Amino acid sequence: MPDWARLLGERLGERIASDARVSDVLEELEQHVEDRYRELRGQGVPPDEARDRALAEATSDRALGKWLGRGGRSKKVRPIPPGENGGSGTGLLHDVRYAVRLMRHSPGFTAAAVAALGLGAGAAIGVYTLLQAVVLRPLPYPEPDRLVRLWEAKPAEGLLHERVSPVTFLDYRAAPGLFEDAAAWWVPEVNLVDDLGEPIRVATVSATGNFFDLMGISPVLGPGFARDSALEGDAEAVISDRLWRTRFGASPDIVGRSIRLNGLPHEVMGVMPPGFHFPDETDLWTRISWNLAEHSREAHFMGAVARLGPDVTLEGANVAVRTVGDRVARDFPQTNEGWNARVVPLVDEVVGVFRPGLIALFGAAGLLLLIACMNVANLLLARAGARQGEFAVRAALGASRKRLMRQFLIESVLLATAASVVGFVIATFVVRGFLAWSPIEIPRADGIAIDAGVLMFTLAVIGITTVVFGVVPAAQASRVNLQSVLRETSRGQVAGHRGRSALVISEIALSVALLSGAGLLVRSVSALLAEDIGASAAGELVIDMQLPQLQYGWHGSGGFYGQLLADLRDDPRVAGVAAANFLPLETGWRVPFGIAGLVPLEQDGQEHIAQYHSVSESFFDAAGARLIEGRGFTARDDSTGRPVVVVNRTFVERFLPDTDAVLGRTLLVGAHQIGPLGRRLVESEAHEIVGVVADIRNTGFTAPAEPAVYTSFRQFPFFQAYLLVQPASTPEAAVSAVRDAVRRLDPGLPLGSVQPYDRVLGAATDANRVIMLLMLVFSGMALLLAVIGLYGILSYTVSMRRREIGIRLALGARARDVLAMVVRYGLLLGVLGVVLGLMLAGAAGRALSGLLFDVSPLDALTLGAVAVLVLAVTLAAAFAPARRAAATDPIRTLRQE
Amino acid sequence: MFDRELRKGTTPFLILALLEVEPRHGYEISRLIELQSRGVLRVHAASLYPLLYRMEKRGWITGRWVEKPGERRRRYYRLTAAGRRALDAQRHQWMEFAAAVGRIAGVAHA
Repeated sequence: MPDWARLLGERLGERIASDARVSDVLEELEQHVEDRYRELRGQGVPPDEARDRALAEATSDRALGKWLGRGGRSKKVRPIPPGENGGSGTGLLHDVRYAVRLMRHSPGFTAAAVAALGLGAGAAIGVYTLLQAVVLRPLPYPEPDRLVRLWEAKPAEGLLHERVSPVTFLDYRAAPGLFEDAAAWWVPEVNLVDDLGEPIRVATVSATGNFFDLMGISPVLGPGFARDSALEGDAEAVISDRLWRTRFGASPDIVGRSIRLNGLPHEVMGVMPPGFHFPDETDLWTRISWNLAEHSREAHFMGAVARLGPDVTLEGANVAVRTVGDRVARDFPQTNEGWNARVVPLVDEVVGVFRPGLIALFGAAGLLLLIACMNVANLLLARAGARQGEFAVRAALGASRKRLMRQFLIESVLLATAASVVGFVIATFVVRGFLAWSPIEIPRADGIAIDAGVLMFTLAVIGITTVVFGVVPAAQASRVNLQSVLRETSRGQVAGHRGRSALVISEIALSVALLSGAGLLVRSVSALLAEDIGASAAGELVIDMQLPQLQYGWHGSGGFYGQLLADLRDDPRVAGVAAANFLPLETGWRVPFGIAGLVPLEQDGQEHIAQYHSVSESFFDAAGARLIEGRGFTARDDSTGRPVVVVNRTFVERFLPDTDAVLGRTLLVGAHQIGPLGRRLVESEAHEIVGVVADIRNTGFTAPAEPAVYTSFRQFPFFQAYLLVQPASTPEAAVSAVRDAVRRLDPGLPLGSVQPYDRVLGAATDANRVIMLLMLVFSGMALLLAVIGLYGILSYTVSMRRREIGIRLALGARARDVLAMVVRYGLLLGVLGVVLGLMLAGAAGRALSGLLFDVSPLDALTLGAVAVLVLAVTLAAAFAPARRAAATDPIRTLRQE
Repeated sequence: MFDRELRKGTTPFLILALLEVEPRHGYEISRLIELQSRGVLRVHAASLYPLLYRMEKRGWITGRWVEKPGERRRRYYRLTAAGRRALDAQRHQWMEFAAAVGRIAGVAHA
């Protein structure tokens, strides 16, 4: 037997450390070589060869020698497992590159995810763009939160937005500690006539002298209205920057110049900064030069705006205003019984129905985005299943869970970013297109722009969507542990599957909620459109006109309009024409009246009030109103004819309920003159009732009509009038016919605005219609996404259960049973989603109540129809995968195993 | 033949598996690896004993000199509790890895 210790020592060299454990190893090695030698000898290997081979095997690794030399200490070098951050910052970049590559490799998946998310993001960004500009942006006045509109109200009659009487306005303004200040205005129709150009109509308000101070905006040129409170004095005017540039060529010496408004000279006191046109689109402000106190408490014709005192809340202000209103009603019951007032934040007033509308739409867009996120989460979960192998290998090669999750999140962030870019582009174009298309005036539309706020919002969308759709699949995927990969069809995927079912149920639920909202709006709008407002359009045009009063005088005014109507009736370009001082839906002058023998003009200080409208012959026809009894006016009902009136049905029901013979009764017209605008030309108060007309709404689209008295425009003319013109051929021809006729009568007289009559009537419902349309689009998209989600999960289920289905079929199940099984599953998801969605809709319906008309937020018909629709669509979506399942070939499926 | 890197990683795993049955000495371990792998896997003494040394240092195994009458003393190794856990973990990992590789590479696993 060789001396193994010596031989090994020779071969391993001098560096053998004299460590106890190392000598153990050497002894083992020695032993090993000896065992090996014996074994080789036993196999018949010659002794020398056996010795050399045994020694060679034991020392073949040069590392052994080194190792022994180090005394058994191994070098501390740990290899970096692939997929783990090597410590440098390049890991992130690597992950991003990897994710981009991955997206490029599955263009179908990427496109589907980006499209779904992009739609949702586009909707959200688009609506946010509108919301921000229209609703959220503060008004461009100092401390805009303190600005309120003041309205008089008669709650018992549903009147909440009545203009204020100048006299009562003074009472409200004087309430101690309530308002810092309050200003009022009224809207005269003003023609600007000078030698600078064509006479034009200018949108004008006549305001109290403190108007600009109250708004907190000063003229950029000139002093503005004189500060002394003298009510009498030179007529003063302030003009807008727009008017200054278009009419006066931005002349710097405009201040102090005299301009003629309705024939009266006014001194220009200032030019307002660009963009200031409050209220509405005003271009010219004149200073009221009459005493507000010397008017009637019944004449509700003034707009009013107030600045709340410091520390006055909106609620506090409303309480205080009501207290004042109650006192005024007690002190002046004959005029103010039942009347009160309220203040509304100016911004709400400016924005109107767009506040609840855009907020509802924003909610809808948010839900849509959420559904899109769920859809993409669903896709990601499905793909996570397919990628389990990839993740398992990376995990096995040493990638940490954190790293895997990061990889997944990076992919999600990339998807969300791509989708938001797509959404951003969609939003930009859609908003632009919407503004161009929209038939409605969107308040503050000038501020709609893609700005920093919108960009911030887009970033927020990216962040939120990533979290919503990315984190769950990421957690799921990185958990992929390795066990479930092995046991292929076991728990891991069942859990993922359950998660996906829950997502689909939520998607269905959310779309049910959205559809319910849209359905309620559809019901509202159809109820609105079905409202009988007592007037209808048939292609007429509305042209408004204003006569300069100095030049014409009352009789001249009556004569002018009479002649204009007669001339136009002879014009072949015009098929019909009528005039009135108010259009349908507008509120007439509220003036006292009496009925001979029944209702005295005044009794114990109590007056009866009705709205007065002056209309020309054939107005009722042109306006689409229905005469119930008697006749309308004729051209002979003029200042020389017998005084006549027509009353509306509410008037008859309220004041002549038990009278058989309404016609022929004598109505006492109390008003002799209405402000600087109109005047009764017939001397007698006594007017014969010659007709009864069906109610034409006169306080708004949805409020029932107030009692109304129609006087003949020839007997009670106004300087201002609307012409209702029925074109014989084209609207353009009709307008030029009117222009020609007016020019023949008075070359210096401008035409006011021209608008289609149906737009005038439809304007009240436009916003609701647009909001409804958008809501329909959003909820349709939501349903589509939900259906795609459902289809996806059913297809997936079928493919996962192919083997089970094959076995069932092989064991004698009929294709029909398989079909039913899959459809049942789809329906189960659908029913759960619908039930959940209806509950959600019930909770969310209240958010819509500001937009609903004549329909309950819990309207059973709407909710039922939505449920049926969604279930039907669910069924349809379930059918294709079910058919595929039923068509499984059992033999082939089982053979694949 | 398997490449060096792979073999290096798997040998401790194999040793743990062999020691799971009963305590064994180094030569027995190397013989069993060769025999049970039908000659596919081989561990030379040159790397076996440093490896055993390292595994002992990690606490997976403990060695003890055993004297038998008429024989040279031998160092027998047996599994510790930590070694048993390491074996379980590696066994899982290995099976999963094999399955994953098999799924990707299209190799049916046993």
